[in-house]
Order: sequence, then structure tokens, then C-alpha cells
Amino acid sequence: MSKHPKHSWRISLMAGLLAVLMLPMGCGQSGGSSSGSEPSEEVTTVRWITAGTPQTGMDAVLEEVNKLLAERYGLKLQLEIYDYGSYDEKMNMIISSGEEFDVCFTTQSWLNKYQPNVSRGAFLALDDLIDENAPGLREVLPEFLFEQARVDGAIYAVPNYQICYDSFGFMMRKDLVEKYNFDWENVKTVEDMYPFWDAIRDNEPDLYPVGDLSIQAFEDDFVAMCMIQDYYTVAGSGASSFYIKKGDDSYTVDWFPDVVKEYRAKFGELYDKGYIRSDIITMQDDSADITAGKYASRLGIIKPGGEAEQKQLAGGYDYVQVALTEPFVNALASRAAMNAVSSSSKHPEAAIRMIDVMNSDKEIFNMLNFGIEGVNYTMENGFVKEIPDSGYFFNSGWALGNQFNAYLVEGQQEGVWEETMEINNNAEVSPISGFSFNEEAVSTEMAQMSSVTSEYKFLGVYDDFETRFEEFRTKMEQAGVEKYKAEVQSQLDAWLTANGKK
Amino acid sequence: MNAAMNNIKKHPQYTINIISLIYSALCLLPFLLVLSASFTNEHALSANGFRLLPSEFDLTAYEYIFKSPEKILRSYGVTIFVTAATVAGGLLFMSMIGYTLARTNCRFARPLSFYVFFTLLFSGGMVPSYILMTQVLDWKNTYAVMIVPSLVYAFHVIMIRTFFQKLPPALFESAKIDGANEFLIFFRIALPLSVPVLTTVAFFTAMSKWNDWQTGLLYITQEDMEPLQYMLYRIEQNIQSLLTALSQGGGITVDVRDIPGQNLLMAMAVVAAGPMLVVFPFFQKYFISGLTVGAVKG
Repeated sequence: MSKHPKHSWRISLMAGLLAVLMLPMGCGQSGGSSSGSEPSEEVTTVRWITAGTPQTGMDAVLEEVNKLLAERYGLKLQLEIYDYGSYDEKMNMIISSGEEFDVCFTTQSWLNKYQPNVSRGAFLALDDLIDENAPGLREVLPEFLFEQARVDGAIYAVPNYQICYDSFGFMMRKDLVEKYNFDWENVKTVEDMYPFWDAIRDNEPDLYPVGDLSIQAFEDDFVAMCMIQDYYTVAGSGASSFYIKKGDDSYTVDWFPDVVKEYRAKFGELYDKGYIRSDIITMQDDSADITAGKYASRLGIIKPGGEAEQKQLAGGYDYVQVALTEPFVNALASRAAMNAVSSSSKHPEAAIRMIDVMNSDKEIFNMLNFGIEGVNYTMENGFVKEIPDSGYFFNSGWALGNQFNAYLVEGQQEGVWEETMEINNNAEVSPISGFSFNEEAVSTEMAQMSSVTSEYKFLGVYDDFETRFEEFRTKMEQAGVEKYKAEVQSQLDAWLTANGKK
Repeated sequence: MNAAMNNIKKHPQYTINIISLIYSALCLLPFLLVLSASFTNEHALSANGFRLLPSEFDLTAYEYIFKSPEKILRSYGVTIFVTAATVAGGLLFMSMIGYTLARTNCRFARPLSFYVFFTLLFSGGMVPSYILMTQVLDWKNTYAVMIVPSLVYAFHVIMIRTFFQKLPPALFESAKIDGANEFLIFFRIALPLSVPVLTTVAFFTAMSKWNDWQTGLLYITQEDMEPLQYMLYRIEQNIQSLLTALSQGGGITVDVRDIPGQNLLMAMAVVAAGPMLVVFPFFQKYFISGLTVGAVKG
């Protein structure tokens, strides 16, 4: 067999050489970065990951921020911004691989979802950490924020303080309101809007009378606006939402198909009258029309300074707004944006102190928000004005901490934060504030229900609404809506008993 | 007689040709739609949807891309560098492994083959490789992470090995008698004779590397190191994510102006696909002969 012993040895050597060759090639680049920053004794580095638009000039800003942080708190911030599109997948990878980091951004239903992460033990329980290292947080932030963040009794993330309530209503283009002499201030119901929409439909062929920020969710938003007046949402979303009736002491959960049906029919009425664009069923994304100001009015959340925001957003027109529903704080409203401490963190005390800084130190918070004054922005009459192309203008205070500490940006209304905070504190709070439904047991049913609701989108606009709705109801029942409902009811009952409400 | 036979032969050919033509047209259709959408006005696109011919011809998407081309050129550079390095390095490594495994006088050929082919069937999965890359090797944000893991792909090694096995053994023996060592035989005899298989492998590697966005998603956070396809993917995902945020309403403040138009996205897809369309005909010559590699095994 071994006719050429010498040569075979050589070939094996060659194979071995290959393997050896690959090693240095791989390791060659690794040396530098790992041992880059040796943490000194006093300053602790906190790796903070958040979502947003990455900023090219971040290093310069972080350098300034870190000077202040080291001086005042003995902390160093290593901020990483991943954009919305890749944040979920990157965080998922980082968490499942057990990579070390300290703080990350988490939300109830949008990015890096809160509850699944709590269930898999990705976040630390914060109650003791806060009391021992950052008692100031309890003073800066109102108690109900922490209450709503609780899962099975423990806080796993610090909510970012921002607008917490929903109040539905309409925004209207001011020039059109004036042109058609519309008495917008006295709008109380949807019907009161009809004269305005009639005028737009008949006289402005290029415009749509009414729209929504998300065309896909238009009918659901409309139904939500109608429902919020008499019902509290308990679980689910969109067309598969579950409610309890206001004033119902027995806290009976239902999806109230008959009531919802009425409101969907109403939406169909608006469509039949020609108030809603006729291609709504096929329309995927109408942001181009929104930014061009093609909607004479839109359904949406009414909040202080909303007109100014809408002006920037939609074609630079002046807007007026009117609320149709009372400000109302949902059971999980404050989970919309939160920061959690990772269970892989080596120094959770520093992490929680960093969160404290973001909520209480205005100067540092604003520096991260807008950059360095004179370099990234200028202050004009108390308003921040961006210096374009300067490489840093994060402007997402709601992702970092206490939004109400942010400077006002040019175009915003004076006193907008104070007003928002005022309404936050006076708004009606859901009686089941802090109750969060754990979907795990009925996730199959939820998946089936979602496929039904996406099949029966925009029910109201079809001519054969009656038959379609009954079809929808039957399919929902087949999908397991009753089982889901029973699960919500039993979890809610358990929660009510635990919290002494029943 | 002859004419009749020709007719019989031609008829099924026509049918086959027509079916193939229709099928080819269907394959081309999506790309034409993308091309047309990239030349359509954003408003017209959202109003009329995708059309084969632009409903409103408009160049703003391309103007936007080439107005400040630094970012896209930078990503182009990254992708080209990564692709070139992977192809060059990959060819060297894979052909060396293939050669070693093809030689009958290699003592460890069998265990080595097993070692290579095992990876074809089993891999560690995403999380373990992520842990290896980020925690053991610390390769986040390096070019190494984009190049090294894709240097050797077992299936290509098999292709190359099979090709080497088909070369007449007498060639190597005579070279050896003339005093050539294995390296000399490999570089001066085996490689020059294997251009078809090498081109095929080079093309496959280049294609997969050019279209690879997953590596970027997992390991690249620095914007100046982003490969082109990952940049596209990111922008597309951002649109989706912002739309979700919008449809949920509530406390999240999202600026609709951050959402780029569909036409811009399509224009970027065209810009990204362009070079591959140019490169393909160049490879095609070898491509066909390379594909039959291993088809007939002796």
C-alpha cells in the first residue's frame, strides 16, 4: 500500500499546513479590540444598547458625555444604537448567546419584546437594585410607571417617562377649516365632522377628506376610538381585542362582536359617503400622501403640541386638533418604551445608576439627545435648532429616559411637556392598570385568530358587510376565540384577587 | 419522407420552445417590475402600484442615491473587497484541500474527507457560531468575520476533488519522475488543468458572498463596514418596523418622513444587482463545462 511513504508524509504535511495556515489568518485581526479599554478602578463602563438611527458623530459626543459621567457619577457610557429594522434580530442574538451587556431598550409589543424576555430570564428584577443604588428614580418617576412594569410582582424594566395616555380625535388642515368655515372647536362626535368632509369631497378632488397615520390600521383605529368610550381593553390587539365594560364590577371579559360590528358598519358608512380613499383595501403604504399633506384631516392621538408635530410631518400646513375621547391611561401604556438591565451584566448596580442618570440628569440626557451645543445644535430662544450634517442629532428622548427633561426642538410648542405631564397625572387610569396577559397558553389560538383578522381586514367597506361579518364571527369561533377569552378571564380573575380588587 | 420526419421532429420542439419562452419571461418579470418601479414617481407608485412600464417616469430615486454617493460607494467597496478576498482565498484553500483528498497516496485521506464532509451535514447552528465569533474570537466589526467563515464550503471541495480525481494519474507520476514536488505539481499541473471547475466555484462563491446580508446583520454594527446587501436589507426592515410602530399608535413617536419610498428601495436593488449582471456573461463560458464536473464518475 505505502508505495511512496515519503510522499504520503509530505501530502499529509500539506494538509496540516493548511489547517495551521487558517489559524493565524483568523486570529490576526482579533488582538486589538478586546483589551482596548482597561476599566480603571473608579469608572465603571456600562454597555447600553438602544434602537434608533445610528449617528456617525457619536464618538465625539460620547467623549463629552463620558467626561461629565466620570466626574459626576464615576460611570462611562458605551452606547450602541442599532436601527429599528435590525434591532430585534441583533438583540435576540446577543441575549441568546449570553453576550455581556448592561442595559437594553425593550417594549411591550414593538421591539425586543418585554414579556418573552422576562420569561426567559434575560432581565434582572430591579426592585432591590433600585432601592439600594438609585432610590432617586422612585422620586423622579411616578409610581404607576413602575406598577405597570411589574411582571408577577417584580419590576424588570424602568419605563421611560413620556406621554402615557390615549385620547383619540381628529387633526384638520387649518387652511381648509377656514376656507369652508368649519366650526371645528365644537366637534363632539364623528357625525359633527361630516359637513367638513362633505365640503372636501365635493370641492377638493385632489384631497382625501380623512385618513390615518397607518392606512392599514385605519378601521381598527376607528373602532378603538369608538370602543374606548365605554370599554377597557384587557388583552389582544386590533380586531382580536378583548374588553371589559366600564362600570362592570364583575369584570367580565368579552370580545363584544355585536358592538364592534356596529362600529365597523359605521366605518363602512364613512367609506360609502366617499370620505375615505376608495383604494383603501389595496393600499399598503401611503406615507407619500401623508407627507404631501393630501389628507384634509386625520384620525389620531390628540396631545399637546400635536399640531406642530403634524405640521412638520404633513406638508408644512398649519393644523388644528380636536379630541373626541377623554384622556385615558391604558393598563400597559408605560410599557411602550422601557430600559431593562441584562442578566448577563457584570455590574448591575452601575447599570441601574446609569438609568437613573438618564432620567434625572438633564444636561447629560440632552447631550445624548441633541449632541454638543455649537457643534450639533444651536439654542435659539430656548429652542434647539439642528446643525444639518453635523453627524449627531439622535432626538429620541423616549428611547433613553425621561422625555420630559428634553429641550424643546424648533417647531415644538412651548410648555408641551408640562401640559402633557399634567394630563398624564389627571387622566383616567384603567382599573386593571398593570395587568398583563400572558399569551403562552393560548398562542395557537392567537395565531389562528390573527390569520382570520388579516383575511377579514376592512370589513366595513364591503357591500356584503352583513354576511362577511357573520363569516368572520364563525371563523373567529373556529379559531378559538372562546378559549382565548376564558384564558384571559381566568388570568384576570387571579390578578384581581391577588391585588385585592375582587 | 425527409420533410415529414423533420415535421415530426419540429413540432414537439416548438411546444417545448414556447413553454420555455413563457417560463423565461416569467422569470424575467419580477426584475422588470423592480426596474420599472425604480423609475416611477413615489406618489404614482403608491397610487397605482407596480406596473411593467413606469406610470410616471421619474429619476428622483437615482438622483437621491447618487447625490451623496459616499455611503453607497463605501458599501460597494466593502462588498467588492469581501467578495474578491473570499473568492481568492477560498479558491486557494478549497483547491488545496481538494487536491490533497484526491491524491490516492495521502495517508489520512479518509479521515480528512470525513472531517470535510461532516460539515456538509451538520453545523453548530447560529447561536454557537455567534458565540464563537463574538466571544471567543472577538470578531465583531472585522473583515475577518465576513471572509474567513466562508472560505471553505464542503460541497465546493467535493466538486474540486472530483475534478482532480478525473485528471490522468500518469500526469502526476511523470512530473514526479522529473523531480517535481507536490507543491510544484499542484500549482503548475493540477491547477492550470482545472480552470473550468475553479471558475464555477469562483462564480458560486462570488454570488453567495455578493448577496450575503446575514453576516452583516449579525456581526457588523459599524456603518462604514456595511456590505451592500445588508444596507438594503436594513433599509427595507426599517420601513417595515416603522410601519408596525405606526399601526400600533400610542406612546411611540415615529416620524413618517423617516420612511423611504418604495422607488428608492427598488433603485438601490437595481444598483446592487448591476455588477453581477455584468460579471455573469464573463463566467458563462466556463460555467457550462464546470457544471458537468462530477457528472460522470469513473
